[in-house]
Amino acid sequence: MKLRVYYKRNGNLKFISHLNTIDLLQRTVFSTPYKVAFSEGFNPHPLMSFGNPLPLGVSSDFEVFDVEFIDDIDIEDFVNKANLYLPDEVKIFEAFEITSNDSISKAFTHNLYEFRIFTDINLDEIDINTENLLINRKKKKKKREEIITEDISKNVEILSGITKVSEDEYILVAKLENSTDKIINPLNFINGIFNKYKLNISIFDVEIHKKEMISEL
Amino acid sequence: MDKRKYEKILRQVEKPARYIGEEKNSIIKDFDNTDVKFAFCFPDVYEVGMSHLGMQILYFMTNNEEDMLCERFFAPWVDMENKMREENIKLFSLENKRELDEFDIIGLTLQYEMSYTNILNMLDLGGVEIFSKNRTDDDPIVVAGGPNAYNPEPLSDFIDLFIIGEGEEINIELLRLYKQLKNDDYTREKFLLEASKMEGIYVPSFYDVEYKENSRIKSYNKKYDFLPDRVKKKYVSNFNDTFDLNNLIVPYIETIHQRSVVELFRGCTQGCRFCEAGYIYRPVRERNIEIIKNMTDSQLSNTGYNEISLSSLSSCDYRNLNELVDVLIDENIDNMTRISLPSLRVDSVSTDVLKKIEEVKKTGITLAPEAGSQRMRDIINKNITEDQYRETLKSLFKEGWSKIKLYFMIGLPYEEESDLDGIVNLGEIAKRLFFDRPKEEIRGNFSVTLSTSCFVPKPFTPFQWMKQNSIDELQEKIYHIKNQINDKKIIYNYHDPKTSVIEGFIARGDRRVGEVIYNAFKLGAKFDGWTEFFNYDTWVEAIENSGLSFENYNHREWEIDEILPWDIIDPLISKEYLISELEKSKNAITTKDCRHGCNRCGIENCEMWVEFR
Repeated sequence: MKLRVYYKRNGNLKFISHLNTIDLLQRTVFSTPYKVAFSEGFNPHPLMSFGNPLPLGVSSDFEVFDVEFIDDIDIEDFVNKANLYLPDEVKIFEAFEITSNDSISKAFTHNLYEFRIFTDINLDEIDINTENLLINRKKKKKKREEIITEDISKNVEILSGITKVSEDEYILVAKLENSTDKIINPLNFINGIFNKYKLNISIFDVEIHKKEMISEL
Repeated sequence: MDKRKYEKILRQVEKPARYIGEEKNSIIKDFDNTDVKFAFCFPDVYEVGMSHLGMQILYFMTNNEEDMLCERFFAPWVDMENKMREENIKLFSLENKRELDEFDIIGLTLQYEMSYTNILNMLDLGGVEIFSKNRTDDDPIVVAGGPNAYNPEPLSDFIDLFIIGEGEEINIELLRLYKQLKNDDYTREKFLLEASKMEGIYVPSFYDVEYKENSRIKSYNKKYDFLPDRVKKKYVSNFNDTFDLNNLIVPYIETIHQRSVVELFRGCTQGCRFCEAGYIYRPVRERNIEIIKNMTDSQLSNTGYNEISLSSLSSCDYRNLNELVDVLIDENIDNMTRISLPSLRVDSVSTDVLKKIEEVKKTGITLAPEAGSQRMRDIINKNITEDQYRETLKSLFKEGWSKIKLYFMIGLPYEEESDLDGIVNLGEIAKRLFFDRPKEEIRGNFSVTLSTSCFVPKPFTPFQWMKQNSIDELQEKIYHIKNQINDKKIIYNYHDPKTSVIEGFIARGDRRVGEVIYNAFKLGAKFDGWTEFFNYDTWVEAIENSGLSFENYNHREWEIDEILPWDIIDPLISKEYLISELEKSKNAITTKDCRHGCNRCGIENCEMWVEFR
């Protein structure tokens, strides 16, 4: 029986890496009484697959993994037991059966992100748009790393422009592509915005939170 | 702590999960409403400290007491330290994120000489006065324990009191005393005075040291008559009646070991003459199978780990090892739990047990002959013969192992060229044994790694009086071995002699060495156990600036009748015994394992002899 599981990872747990998250989720699944299926072969591994990695330091209300069990299981009981093992900041909120050839990467096309920007600069006046939005990103080319610049205006959409929430705190909400063709890193996106509007704000002064994964197919 | 500032720095450092805490089974108590606040400090990075069993024991033991709390501190990695200093953030605990100087008692564990600069750095980062003499009644008490506390003197300027022996016997008692005295007329002096009356507690400021003109120690003078002339170590007498470690903190990030750990026994009867642990942890006290089984069961279910490590100084010496392994395998047959046994000996018992536990992965295995020639193994009393070595390898190869790693020491007392040649020889023997078999039996890709570390004379061993080789001598020995190896299947690794010489300088240091550690810290030394940070020149400068010399500590033969800096500690092993062992080593005479007959090491009412008879 194959299960798709939605979970959140917030608070300080946003500072654990993708690999650490995988370890945690594997230990969690193993802690339940339900037997996970293993791959065949010389070095068997549990049949679990995970959504695209979240950049270190980004929190999320919507993450996903798939897990295959040997037998049919009681889904509600599985979720309860898994949540007992998980820390407070990581919790499963939904799980359902899927057919064995459904893959995570095809199920979603976009991520919604909330950017919380801390700065003394007054951002109130700026009317953000994504026209000709350029980002710089690292690309590995034959062992060498190079920086390439690309226009991502087609891959992103501002859902709610910069809004002031307190004296030195602003919020921006955007939808970034996360499909089999294109994955936009939220850090690159916000850096691109800062560059476009010539805002001297450090990326370290931005708190990024993933709100949801959606499909526009 | 300011959350925004905290998160901002975490976004800028490597492996921020080192600093967040919140791991499974960690305990966060109400800080302001708990009477005694104990800060456990491990002077190395998170991943190293979290693999330390002693910390887990003290953590759960202390937090088990309703009126006490224990929170963890590790040395921040250099990127984190720089950010913290930039942003004026003090060293904070992983649990309540409280600053080090807000705690009542700071406990440091002394595992390794090369972590001493980190100790000063952590105190400094935590806003605590580095020098004991500068601390006031409002400051925390700084205590230290662990194996290196057996020579406390190099740290006596910085540590208020040392715990000598096994912490689980003393720690809670000490915290209780603190609670009892922590009232309106509390003073540090009063606390230290009362503590010094407890067994296993050494308060260095209550003793004065006089030196002779030739720089050796003239005398120790105690300030109060009731103080002991030598501070006796304290240990758990009945190892079946200790705190049950049923729980472990489960880190999010990869640490050195991620597995459940249960000690089989404490102490070791092998009597290797270079090994401090073999002397200071005596006598041997075993735990019975039932208790071990219960502890592993609880740990596995509380952590979700799928590996059990059975730990001790020499695991095959556990009398019921076969039975225990059978029980554990039987219990865990369904859940793919692995069992691992560190510290295996080169003999047949080991291979029998290994056959049982290493069902799946048969890649590398590590053995420690320690010396290459029989003569040298007799000198250091590492009782393995070449025949045993051959038999062990044969059966390992037969079982499918193909990668062998061998540990040796160079720079041992009375070493000659032929002893070094013996190291290469054992590598060649391994290769021959692997390939001199019928073709159809040869499986896997063979390699043998010869790894040498440099001998460091340690307190409370028969070699405590011996001269340590100089860097040049050690370097020459390394080349001597290296030049003989021209075979891709035989790999040679060696430790940097410079680190070993500094380690040797501190290991047998007296109180004056404290100034050297302070100088080195001031010159920027930290993480000296990490090759990427260790800077030999810094240490040379630190030593020169304090007017001391390698000659007086490392590179001379100490006199049998001179007062040793660590003589202030009584490990219950007699000096006469160590002298007799030294004499025997000169003539390459071995001493039998004391399970086969008491060797009169000086321990009175030896628990092992009561139980094993």
